[in-house]
Amino acid sequence: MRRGDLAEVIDALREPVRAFVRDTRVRVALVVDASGQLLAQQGFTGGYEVANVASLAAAAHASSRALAELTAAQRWNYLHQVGRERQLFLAPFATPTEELILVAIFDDDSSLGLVLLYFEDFARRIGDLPQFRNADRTGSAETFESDLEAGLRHIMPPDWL
Amino acid sequence: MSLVNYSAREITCKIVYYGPGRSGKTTNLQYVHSRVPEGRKGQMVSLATETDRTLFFDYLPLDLGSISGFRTRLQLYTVPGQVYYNATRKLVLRGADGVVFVADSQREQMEENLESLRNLQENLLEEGYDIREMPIVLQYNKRDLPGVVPVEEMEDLLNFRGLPSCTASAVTGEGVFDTLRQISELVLKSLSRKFQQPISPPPHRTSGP
Amino acid sequence: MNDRLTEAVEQLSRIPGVTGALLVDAEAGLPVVGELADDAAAPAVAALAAAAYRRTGRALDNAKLGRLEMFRLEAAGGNVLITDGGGLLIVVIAEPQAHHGRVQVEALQVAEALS
Repeated sequence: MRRGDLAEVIDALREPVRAFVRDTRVRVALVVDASGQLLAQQGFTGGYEVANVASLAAAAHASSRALAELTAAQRWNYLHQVGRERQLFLAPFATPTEELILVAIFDDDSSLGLVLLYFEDFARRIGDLPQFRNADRTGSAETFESDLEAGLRHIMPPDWL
Repeated sequence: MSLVNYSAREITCKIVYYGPGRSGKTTNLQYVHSRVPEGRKGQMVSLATETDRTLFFDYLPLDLGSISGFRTRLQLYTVPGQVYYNATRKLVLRGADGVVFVADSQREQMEENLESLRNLQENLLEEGYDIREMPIVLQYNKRDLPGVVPVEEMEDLLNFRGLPSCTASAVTGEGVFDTLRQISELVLKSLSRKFQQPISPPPHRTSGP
Repeated sequence: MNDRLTEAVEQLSRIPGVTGALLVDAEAGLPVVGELADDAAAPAVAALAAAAYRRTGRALDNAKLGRLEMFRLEAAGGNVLITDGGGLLIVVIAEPQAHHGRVQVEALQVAEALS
């Protein structure tokens, strides 16, 4: 579902994401929509890398959801992957207009408990934003691809190209 | 990569439908799924966006029955066509035994077709495939639409390697099974060559374990 | 193992003045076993206690003061004492009038038993 003004949405998400990163001390945080469109990021420096993470995160979420349906598990709350030095947290959350996905990558400066603690509040804060209350259906199949790219251009620093 | 289980006499091959966004890859699989009888197909899984664009892949398992004494299964996949999803496209391409490149025959889509074909070649190279060895069939889809590019012109524009090609109109089903038949034959022949023998039972063992 | 952990929490909860005891997975910051006045607060207490303990430990490390052994917070409404027992943190919450010496000794005993 596409909202009327992407730049406005991205702008509105900036502070909640910043606060989440500050409180949890995660290294990287992304917010993507269910199509993998990047809506907010903190901690990335390369434009192409973040697009990959965004699309893969949406794919991982879609796969997990399909798995849940196939195994009658109903719904996963979050996905947590533990690596040697880094961990990944991926969780969907509902807003009045659509489902979004938070991806957080952290090391031992943070913890799963800390991320979970602030995640609920973060999700609620996003859901309360006016940009997620009244969505304009102005998008179309033709603008789908340009929308994906537009998100990147709005979010990444001007020199990432 | 094909899974060949000699003791169980089973072969499983992966075929990936590739091409630009909205060229008809998913429609191919949907048509196959709608026509193959129960018992010869598994559940089709589609991981798509709200606007029905493939987000990760579509997946359809098929049972071809016995070929040269081997129970032969095909796993058909599609990839997301939009440029943005290259990372997921590469993942799906891994382990492919054959590729169907679904081109959109509309003139305004030629640039997208070429870009997607270049992308396929790049990704195959990156995944360590010898693109000369990979079985590929080109499908010129959407032939039912008015004013599409003539087949000869599509061949000139896209088929510089002289690959097998088919025309199709996936929404009506025309050409869908022809394409599938062609790619299956290519894949199985390639498999035979790889193992330097026709797909046939292993020699009788006389020694113990 | 679960009985041992439950017994540890019960031992600490029995100390006069103690209003809550919680064993926390130190790495994940998640509650393992506990008894708190408000059980709903367990995830928050666990996450924040683990974060505070880890960061304080790192600060001591950087200051070359050796390994953090115990961490105590004093607030107007009570105290929080945290120590670690082999991958688990022992978190004890007590009223201001609790015998803090006893709390400390028993927390350390539990830590040693769990290590």
